[in-house]
Order: sequence, then structure tokens, then C-alpha cells
Amino acid sequence: MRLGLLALSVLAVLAPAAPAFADRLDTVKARGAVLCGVSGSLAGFSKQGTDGNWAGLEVDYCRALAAAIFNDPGAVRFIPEADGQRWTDLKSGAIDVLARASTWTMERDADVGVAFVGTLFYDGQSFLVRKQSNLGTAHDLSGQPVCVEANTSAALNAEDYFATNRLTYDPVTLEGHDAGFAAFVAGKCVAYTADASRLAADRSTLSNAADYVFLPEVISNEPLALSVALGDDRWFKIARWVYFAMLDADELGVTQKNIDEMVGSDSAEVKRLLGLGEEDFGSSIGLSKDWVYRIVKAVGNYGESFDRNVGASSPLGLPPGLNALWKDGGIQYAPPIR
Amino acid sequence: MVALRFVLVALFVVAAGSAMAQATAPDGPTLKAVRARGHVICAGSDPLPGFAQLDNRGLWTGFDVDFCRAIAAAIFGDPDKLEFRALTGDARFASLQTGDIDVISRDADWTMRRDTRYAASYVAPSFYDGQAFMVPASRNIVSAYQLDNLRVCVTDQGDQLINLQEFAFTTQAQYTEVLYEDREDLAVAYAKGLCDAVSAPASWLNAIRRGMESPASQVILPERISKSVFGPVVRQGDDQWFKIVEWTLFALIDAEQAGVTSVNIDSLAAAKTHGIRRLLGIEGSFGPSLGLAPDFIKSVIKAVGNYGQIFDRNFGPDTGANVPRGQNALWSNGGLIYAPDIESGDTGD
Repeated sequence: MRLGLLALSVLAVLAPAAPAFADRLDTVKARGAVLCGVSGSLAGFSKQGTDGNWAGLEVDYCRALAAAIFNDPGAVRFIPEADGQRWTDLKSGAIDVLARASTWTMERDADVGVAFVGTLFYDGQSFLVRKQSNLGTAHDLSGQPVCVEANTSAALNAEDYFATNRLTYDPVTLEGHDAGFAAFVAGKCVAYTADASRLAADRSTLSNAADYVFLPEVISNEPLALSVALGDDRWFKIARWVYFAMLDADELGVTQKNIDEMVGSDSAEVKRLLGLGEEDFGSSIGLSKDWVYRIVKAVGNYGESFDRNVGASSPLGLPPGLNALWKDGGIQYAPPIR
Repeated sequence: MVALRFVLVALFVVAAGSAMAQATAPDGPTLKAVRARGHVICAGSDPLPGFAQLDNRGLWTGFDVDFCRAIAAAIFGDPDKLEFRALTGDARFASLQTGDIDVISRDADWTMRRDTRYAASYVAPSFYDGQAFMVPASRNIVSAYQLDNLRVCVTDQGDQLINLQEFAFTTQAQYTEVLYEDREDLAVAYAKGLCDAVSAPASWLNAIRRGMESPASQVILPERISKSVFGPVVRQGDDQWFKIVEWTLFALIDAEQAGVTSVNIDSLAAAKTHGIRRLLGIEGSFGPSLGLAPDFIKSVIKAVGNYGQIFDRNFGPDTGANVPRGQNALWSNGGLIYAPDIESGDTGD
């Protein structure tokens, strides 16, 4: 009996310390690939092309992580994550990082037991309307049917927005995002409200995409953020600084195209970024000295990835908006590699 | 039997070792220690006008102090359950590691080295700075691009001298460097007229100005020739504590975004907007999962105001040396200050 109690108390004391021994970087290296949770079928963010190749903003981040660790952007497995499953998979270690578009909120940060790393894409709730409807602002939607997905923060945000602006809200609530969009396209509503990224992705799938436009108002902030499991500070820092490195490269004008010329730069900042200075910054998070060179060479900087996947050079055609660098009118900002 | 006894002893030893190591285990040791002690130990900048200074009653005030008070209010509902320490140099990171302090409010700028080499984590940006120029208002200079044929006081700390040289190269300005060791020397030299302009982080320039007889006679020019960002720093290995500090900061920002102030907060109990109800703890339940009260944000805002109120109290017109919000304005007003929402998050995104 005493033995049993003793064993129990020993177990109880030992249990909380256990996760500290699992080192995610070591696990990833031993496996030979990063397991990256992605949206899976969201154009511009993560989607498989007809050739089977993955592309998107989320995909590029995963590849950047693989490039930093393995010097091989292909050393990654993309795992489409369903709504309910993503946090479980992250906490259980079934994925190493969650890049799937997920809004950073207090409940998720505090309750769910994950750590948010940084905002890959600043999104916001918008209204998509038909161009021919001649609706100019969200105020024109007063008393008009607006499609929205049921039981979402989008529904609450819209309610707040109409109330705050003393407009009449006539919501048409539908179960599921796709049903909401289908109802809008079928003409059940004059507008569909959801995150701009979603609306742009949906619009890009229509044959008559050009017939749909965004109203100028953005009625919520939705930081779509990267996250990792709790309890592994080094892995958190790796995930954080790979994201920061893509931004710092953008700020310093280091691109996939010019990187081999930039290696000859006299700028102290560029030298530090590319691991050509005296200090080895990569080693502080278990990476090589040239970890940023590897990232930019493999996938480019943040701005290049944005442009290619969701920006002007993509079918989504989203303006940079808040996702421009801080010095270009946006709020994407990274501390320096110094 | 002998073997069994040996195993038991071994288990005891492991158990004892583990119990001792609990101070750094990821299950809330900092909050536990803070509660047991009855107050937060929060470090800020060494005395720097606007950020941390002793007032005539011998109490610490300033931007850094207010954020410490916010953390104390979040935990105890009382901003005075606080011991503020002004630390400088490497001492602050060492003190964090040893557990002498619970959190650094805002002191050293966020760099990769500091974020990865000192067993500490930067939580989130709380103050954007950057190297700037200050000149006497009487010179009628409004932009750094007008600077030419001047003596410029500067220190060689960090990249300050290099930044000045690179900027002057870009603008092809002629100038004479007047080089000093530290902020104090810079202040004395500039006040004595040993140079025509001074170049340093804008936060230093404001401090130097506030130490002069007539702060309003000096102008900090709008250009920033370097970037730097500051934020609270915690010890690694305690996720709950990281999040307490993080969401105290985010709550200050979200409150400004929502227009909730220390002045109007008591009149908002009947507010209908979900965003405000969540901030006040009337709707949803966001504090308890962090070990805090459901209305911890209300305590914070009542005690210190929102982010904008803190900024104005310490850098606004009433200080006699008004600092424009600039990058420290909310993102929706052209600045960079941003926080995720006090929100649940649903299915979908």
C-alpha cells in the first residue's frame, strides 16, 4: 500500500516535466521532414495543382521551414487540417506546425493550449457584391439580405457592425461556408460577408470572377497566424524566426532572384541576414549559419511569396493592404537579425 | 529486494530533482510565485524620462511602469501590488533567468540575439522606436533631409554612428561628427551647444529634451533612419506567464481599439456590442484559462487606462514635450500597434 502511494506520488511529480524532454527539432530531423498542417484546398493559401504540386502562402512558409532545417524545401509533408482536428493534431505532435489559416484569438491562445507564432496574413471581414448591383459602401446594405455562415464570429461581427452604424441587418444565415457562398452566387443575397481571403479564393473559382467586387469596408481584424504546440521554446523560436527572416529579407531587398548577388553586399545588415558576418545567429536556434540564405534561395522573401500566391500576380489579386511591410504602409514587421 | 530498494531510492532522487526543477517547469511557476509573494517584480528601463522616473513623492511613474501596473492589476486587481526595478545592461536578462524579476516591461530593443540566446522570450511589440534627429526649433528645420553643414552629436552605441553615416551618404549632406560614449554625455553636450543637432533613438531624444530647461524649444524631426521595436520580455519555459503578459498588452490595445477607457468603462456595463462585452468580461470567459479573473481586463483598464491613455499620460502634450503617436498609433490610424481580438474563434478560420 505504501509502495503504491509512493509510486503514485512519484508519477504525479514526474508527469508535468515530461514534455520538456521531447525536442521537436530533433524529432523533425530524425524523421527527415516537417509535418505541416495546411488548409488543403484554399486557393492562394494551400492547394494542390493538377500536377500534384502544392502551392500557396501557407505552403511557402512550410517549405521555408524545411529549407532552413534541411536545406531542402521538399522535405515537408502537407497535411490538410479539418476545423476541429487542427488543434488536437498540433498538441499530439501529429503535425509540427499549423500554417492553416487560423485566426489568432484570445480563447485559442489561452484555452486551446497552443502558442501563436506570428501573423502570416492579416485578414479582415469584408463584403463581396455583384459589380452590377452598384452598391458602393456597406451602408448601402441596410435592409438588404446579406448571406453569412451560421454560428461564426463573422455573423457576430456583422451584427455589431450594423448595430454600431445604425443600419438594418437582414441576415440570411447558412450552415457552412460553401453553402453561404453558393446561396450568394445563386442570388439569395446581395452580399456575402466573410474573411476577404476566403471571398477572394471563392471568387477566383468562378468563371465570371470579374463580375464580383469587394466593398471598401473591412469590419473585423482577423490575423491568420502560425502556431506550434506549447512547451518547446526552441521550436517556437525556429517557427518565429523563419517567419521573421522572410520579412527581414523583404525589407532589405533580398530576393530569390538577386540573392547570389546580395552575397557580395557591403551592407552589415545584409551580411548578418545571410550569415556572412562574424556572429552565427542560426546556431542559437539549432540551425545552420546560412539558414536565411537557404530560405530565400528556396522560396523567396515574404513579399515575393505574397505576390505569387495571393497578390497581384495571382488569380486572387488581393492588394497588399495591411500585409505590406511597415515601411510601405502595411503592418508586417519583424525585429532585426542582430 | 535489494534491487527494489535501489529502484525506490532512485525514484526518490528523481522525484526530488524534479520537484526542485518545478520552478522552471511549464506549469505556471511564475504565477504561483507571484501570488505567494503578493506582488509582481517588474523591471523597466534605467531611469529615462517618459519611460521610468521617480516623481516628487518618490514613486516610479512612466510608460514602462504603467505596463507593470497593468500586469499587477490583471493578477491582483490592484496596480500597486508591484515592485518596480530600474535595471540596465545585461543585469536585466540575468535577473530574469535567476527569477529575481518576473518580467521586463520594456527595455532593450528586440533583436534575434536577445530573443534566442538569453533563455528569454520577447512577448509582442509594445513600443516602436527608431533613430531620429533633434534640432532647436529656432532653426526652422522640419525634415532630416534639410540637414546640412551641421555639427551632429552622436554615440557609437549599437549602429547609431553607422546609421548616421549611411543617412548622410544618402542625402549627400556635409556634417561634422561629434562623438560621445553614452546618452548622458550626449545630453550634456547638446545642451551646452557643442553641436547643432543630435542623432539618437527618438526615445532618447525625448528624454534629453525633457531634461532641458525648455523642452518645447526642441524639435524631433519626423524621419526615422533605423527601425527598432521594444516589447515585454519573460523567462523561457513558462507558457502561462508568457500569455498573461501577452494578453495584458493585447487587452490594452484592444480597449483603445474599442474606445474603452478608464473614464467610460463603468458606464459600459449595458453595452450591446459583443466586442465591448467580451472586453469587460460580461460575455465569454477569457481570464480563467490563464489563471486570471473573468473581468481581469476591466481591472487593468480601470487602473491604468488603455494603450492610448498610457501613451498620452507619458508622452502627450501635458508632459511639455509632446511626442506624436507615429508608429505607435493603432494600425487603424496609420500606426503599427495591433492586437488579436478578445474572441473565441469558431469553426472555419
